[in-house]
Amino acid sequence: MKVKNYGLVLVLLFLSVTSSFAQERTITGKVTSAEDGMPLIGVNVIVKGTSRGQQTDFDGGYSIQASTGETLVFSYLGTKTIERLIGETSTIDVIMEADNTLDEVVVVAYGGVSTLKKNPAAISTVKAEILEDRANASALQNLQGQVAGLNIATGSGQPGEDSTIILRGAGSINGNIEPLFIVDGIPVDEDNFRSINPNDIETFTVLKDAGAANIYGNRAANGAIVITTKKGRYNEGMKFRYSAAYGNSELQDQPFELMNSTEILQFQRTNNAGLGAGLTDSEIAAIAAQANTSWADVFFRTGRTESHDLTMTSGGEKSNNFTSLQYFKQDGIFVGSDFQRFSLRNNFNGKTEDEKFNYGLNLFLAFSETNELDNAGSGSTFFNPFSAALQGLPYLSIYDADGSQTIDGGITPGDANAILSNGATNFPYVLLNSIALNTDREEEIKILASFNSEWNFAKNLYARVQMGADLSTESRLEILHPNSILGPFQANVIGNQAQFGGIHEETYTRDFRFNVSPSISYSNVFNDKHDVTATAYFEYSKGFLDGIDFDQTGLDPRLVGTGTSFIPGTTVEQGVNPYIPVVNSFTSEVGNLSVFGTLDYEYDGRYGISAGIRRDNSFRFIEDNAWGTFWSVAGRWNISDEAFMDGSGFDLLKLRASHGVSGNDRITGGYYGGLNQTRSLYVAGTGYNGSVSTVVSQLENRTLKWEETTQTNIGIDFAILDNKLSGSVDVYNKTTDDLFQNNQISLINATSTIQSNIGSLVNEGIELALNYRVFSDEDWKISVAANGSYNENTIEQLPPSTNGLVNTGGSTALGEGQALGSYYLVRYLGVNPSNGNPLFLKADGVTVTETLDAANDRVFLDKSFYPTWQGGFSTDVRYKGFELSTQWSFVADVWLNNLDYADLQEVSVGSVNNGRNRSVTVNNAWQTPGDITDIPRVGSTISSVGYINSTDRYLEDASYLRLRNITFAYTIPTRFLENTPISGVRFYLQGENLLTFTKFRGWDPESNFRATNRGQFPTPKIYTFGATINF
Amino acid sequence: MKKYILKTLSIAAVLFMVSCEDATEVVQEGELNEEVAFQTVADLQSGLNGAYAAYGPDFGGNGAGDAIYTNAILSDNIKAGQASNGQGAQDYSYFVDFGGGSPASAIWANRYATINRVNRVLRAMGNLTFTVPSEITEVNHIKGQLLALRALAHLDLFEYFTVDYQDSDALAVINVDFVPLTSDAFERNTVAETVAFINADLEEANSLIDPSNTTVSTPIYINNDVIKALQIKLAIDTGDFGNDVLTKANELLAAYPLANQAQYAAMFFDGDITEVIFKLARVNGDNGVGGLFYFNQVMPSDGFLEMSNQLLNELSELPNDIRRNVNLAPASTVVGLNDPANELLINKYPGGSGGLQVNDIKLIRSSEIQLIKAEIQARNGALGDAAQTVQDLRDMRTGAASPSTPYATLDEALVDILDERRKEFCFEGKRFLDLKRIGPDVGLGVSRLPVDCGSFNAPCNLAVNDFRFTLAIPQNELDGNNAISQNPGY
Repeated sequence: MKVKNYGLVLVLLFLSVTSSFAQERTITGKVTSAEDGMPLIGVNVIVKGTSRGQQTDFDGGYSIQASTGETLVFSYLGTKTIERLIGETSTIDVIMEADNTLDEVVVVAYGGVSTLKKNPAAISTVKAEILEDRANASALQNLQGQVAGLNIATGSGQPGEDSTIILRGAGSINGNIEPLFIVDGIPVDEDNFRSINPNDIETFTVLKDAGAANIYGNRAANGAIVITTKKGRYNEGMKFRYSAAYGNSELQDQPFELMNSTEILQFQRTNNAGLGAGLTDSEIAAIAAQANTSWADVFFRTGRTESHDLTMTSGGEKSNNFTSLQYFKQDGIFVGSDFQRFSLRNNFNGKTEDEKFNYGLNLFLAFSETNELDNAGSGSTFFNPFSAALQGLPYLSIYDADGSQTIDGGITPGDANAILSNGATNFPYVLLNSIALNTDREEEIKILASFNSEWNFAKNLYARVQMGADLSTESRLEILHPNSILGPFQANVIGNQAQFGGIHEETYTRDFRFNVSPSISYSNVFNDKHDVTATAYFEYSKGFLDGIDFDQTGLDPRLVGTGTSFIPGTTVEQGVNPYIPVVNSFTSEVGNLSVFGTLDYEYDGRYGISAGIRRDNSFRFIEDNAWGTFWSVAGRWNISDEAFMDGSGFDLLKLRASHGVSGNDRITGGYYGGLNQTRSLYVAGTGYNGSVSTVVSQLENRTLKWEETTQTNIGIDFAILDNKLSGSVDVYNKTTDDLFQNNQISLINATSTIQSNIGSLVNEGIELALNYRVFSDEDWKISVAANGSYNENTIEQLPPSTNGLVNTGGSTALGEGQALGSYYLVRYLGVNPSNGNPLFLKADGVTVTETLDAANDRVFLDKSFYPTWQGGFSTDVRYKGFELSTQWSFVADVWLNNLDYADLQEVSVGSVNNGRNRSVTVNNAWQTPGDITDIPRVGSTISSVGYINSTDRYLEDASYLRLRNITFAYTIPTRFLENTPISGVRFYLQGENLLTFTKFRGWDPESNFRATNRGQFPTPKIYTFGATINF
Repeated sequence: MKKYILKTLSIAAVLFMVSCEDATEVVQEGELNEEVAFQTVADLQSGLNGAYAAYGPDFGGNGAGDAIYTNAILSDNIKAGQASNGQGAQDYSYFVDFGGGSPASAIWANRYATINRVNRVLRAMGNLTFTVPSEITEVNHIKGQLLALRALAHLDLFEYFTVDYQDSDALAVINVDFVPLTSDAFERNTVAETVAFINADLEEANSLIDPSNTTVSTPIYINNDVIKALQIKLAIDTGDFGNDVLTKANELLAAYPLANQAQYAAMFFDGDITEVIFKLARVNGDNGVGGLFYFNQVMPSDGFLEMSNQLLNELSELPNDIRRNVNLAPASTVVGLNDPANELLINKYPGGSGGLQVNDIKLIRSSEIQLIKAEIQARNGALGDAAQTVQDLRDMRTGAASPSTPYATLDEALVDILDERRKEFCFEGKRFLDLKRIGPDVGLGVSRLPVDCGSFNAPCNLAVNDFRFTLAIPQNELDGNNAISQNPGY
């Protein structure tokens, strides 16, 4: 509709508002699809410029109160939005044309909505329906590879494990680097998603640039991820959806070959150490015939996955409801690891007769239980089970004499000689025994509750309130069983002669976060061209973390599990009290206060500007530094709507630009970290000779202030070929100033560093997202999508005292001009053919040396454990009821120090009998002058850890391309279900992580941005079969 | 429109009117500042307890550590153990490393942390006023111990980080008698200044210690005798072998006779204090010194560092030398002389009532004073007296009296004293410093047996006067203190 007569419009507007009560009437109609004429369910029907709206029912019908002169807006995912002016008729039927994504609703900050066409900021939306039915316990894991610039790194196969999330590069050195997470309007703990039901989620919206995220100013320096859960619809009958899935998970392929019993014994014989030393061929054959154990097969298993989801939706005229129940259980692929969750959600929405007031309440309750294995990554022989699975010697038999699988290898608990002899050869038995007998369980109850309401209390004026809470309580139980092999070693009495062993530790924590944000908004359209919205907000947040913890050493083996097993602390043995429990209690509190405002202005649909400014207070800073001012400006120009673009072929061409500053007050990263760094503090602790001491625990830095991130973003959204091909391109520069860093101070201060605001860090990059509907007709639908990003991270300035280099002795260092996470190592050149010693390149880049000089010859290698390239792509092919979809993700130019592989090639002096298996490649070790090989002589100086800490010998390219998901599904045609209560049935078969392409020599190249891989829990392959029934 | 404005304002008022201070002024439970921390004599005593607790020549483990580890790994008393995964290999090979975790970093950081704790208690003490005489005496006793502890920490730093103890104008260490500001930078004082500083602290401490306080009767707290021993050690470092020093040594030897064999053996199980002038108490929950050599405890297949064959050979020289029994665990396996398969388990820290790896750290024993006395005699030309003084110690260790043979030359005397010190104080944090101090006088550096250095595939020798005998100013000090100078060679 084009209205040329502005005067008339003004009159109509005026009339419509002032007389709306009198003339409002019921408009009804039916919405159908242009494609097949079928009714469309869930189409949004709203009266333009008001908050009155509803969704079409099961038959595509709607019924809404409206007045002559008002406009009805019909919008639906994947269709063109239609506007109809209400005239005399009370029936308006609408046919929706498919395939226009431009008016799709986009969720923006603070519960607002916009459309792709109108939004001026860099935002990516992922509709959860494409992630539905995936077999990951954590919803976030499903997001990897879905959004340009977003990296979800999990790096563990423990079901429900927390992921590390970075958006557009790591933006802080010591401070928080993860984006803000909002679920239904309330900020939640970004490190805890295991208890959340992924199938409750409707959309993930990733707010990337200053224009999008800055309104969350004090917390969104790293962007924000806004999660919206599913809702019911008004005027809709009761509906049920049940889905069930079952599946298996297993270990990834092993890209290296381990020695078998014969090979390792021959290796030991050749080097005259260990069991193989001095054995004859026949003796070796005899041992090898008895046992050739693959410890990976012992520790890894096929895990089971099972899930059941039931959702119920219903809607009346003025209220609607969504209820979901879920049970999910998944075994880890490592013995002793599993996860299960029960969750319940209810999302209720209601509104008044006149539709001037509406409210919603989202309640979520979940209980989850995790059994897990500690010490992944640890170098502790008897505690890292993953190293045992990788490095256990094959000639150790897994069977007891009676032929059953052993759980102790015949070792008596407390027999130190048995577990330490021959380089602790028997350590896999110890780990197996610990897993079988010990407990490591976390139980969590999580409640998310959010309330929102809106009151259109006067013409163009809205009052809104959003409030909510995130409560997590975790109870953690760890029992080291007194009857386990390690049990008797736990009591601290000379000679392990304490009568009772074992440890029982319990930790209980409660994390409660509360947030309330009222706002007042004015919204109006002038002259039908000037669309203005101005909003003022206030926000108040508090968080409380409390907990208790105790450790009881000394358990009665008959009663293990509760306090009844505790041996009293007053018990005296050998003149001492070996069983005194250790108890602890802790509490932390945080708070934030903010006032802010936003202004959105749109001219004629073609131009739009959004601006926001906010003042934030952080209790972490004092005096003038406590308040920070953050702001942003964003603008768009819909070039394709200009007259000169008629016939250009662009369905959409929009230029976006934004600039803004946001802050970070999480000095040490954690939500409850760095709470009082502006004050020097003392603690009472254990002093000399068992006394109580008073010592300084923290040095103040009174000048601490907000870390500030300034981001500039320029982007283009486009659609061509009748919207078949759409996408966006963004370039950005994100500069973090006043970085939270450890400033080096003289050690005469009793510490070497102090938290300070020093220096700057830049992330610059480009992002591309493309969607292409290759083909579409009645039977066939083929589409592909791809996204990718390049991010260059550079530390611009470090504390001046460091001369541009902070090297704390590990394999990575901070260097000016280098990326965060850059490796700083001596270059390994291979093996000297004349004597079998390793060769290194000195810092000058020319001199070759056999002497490893880690103090002087380290150089930056231009390799970091943060990737520069990442992205994903997907394909979707549908034919009638069949669908086949794939989702791939990749990261590139990312490096990982592979200590596992270094251990498998350990040949340093004295290491032959270290109780661990080797890679077959060790047979290539240098033996005689002239040998050209990449393995130094057996007995050379440098150990695996030495290579890892100081050289790049095992620094490997951890780039990978992974088939995250493949799904094959079939939906039964509705005509077969006509005379049944069932309205739809879908079967699917899906797989997670089935294929991985990488050069990395380990079970899993994926890591959560760690410098070194040692004994980690690899990401599994998961296959599930499921069915969904609607009725 | 007016009513809208009113309505808007009243709604705004309701929405925005909540109390906010609890979100902006958040102070955590249990924050303790200096004023509240130190108010009474008991508080000051608890501050002293913290200062004592900070001092840790025995700290470390798993291939890193403070003085005891440093003296072992950088000299000739150690070889790789059967359980070695490379613990200490780089230090043993004399790779230049003064980054975090290096010996230089451990010692420097620990001593200055101790000094910092001392100075904080002294500052707090200065802000308090006591009037009751008994309180004044008690506070002075605390202050005396604090000053002596500060002197001890400075003396350690002086010994490890000063190239030449007798070059008055050369750089020593930073003298710290204040609580520093984190923004400040500091250059090292000269040898003369540091020596004067330590002497002044010791003298003041000596005058403040209350000889009637109950703590002086136990060697786990600093008393006037400990101060006297420190004065002797500083004196010989600086080349003062005068009569005053000899007199002090004789006074201490009169008060602390040498232990007999049984007492000596019991001493390392913390069961005897006959010759202990000062030891650091280590109780249940404290750092286990055994962790410097063992993962768990003294037992086969658990030691990642073992005694060198060279040291074993020396300990085996004299028949029935109690020191062989004390230092070599019964569970050791001696296959043969200098056999690479020898498993020589270090037993100096067998564990005690405090736990498997926990023993008191015998910091100053009268045998050290005895050998210092011999050194003073030798350097003053009394070579016969010196030989007899050394022989007296040997007799106590072997349990049988033997005649002494007078030394022919000072060199011979010093070589013998150096050797005796090695046997007497192995794994007690002295060997490397002995080689540093006495070695140049007799032309001896580190010279390991091939079987020992071969266990690490490491160099066998460190030449006398090598720059590495003086530790580097650690990297983290250089990073945080742009005024400081590095030692030569690094």
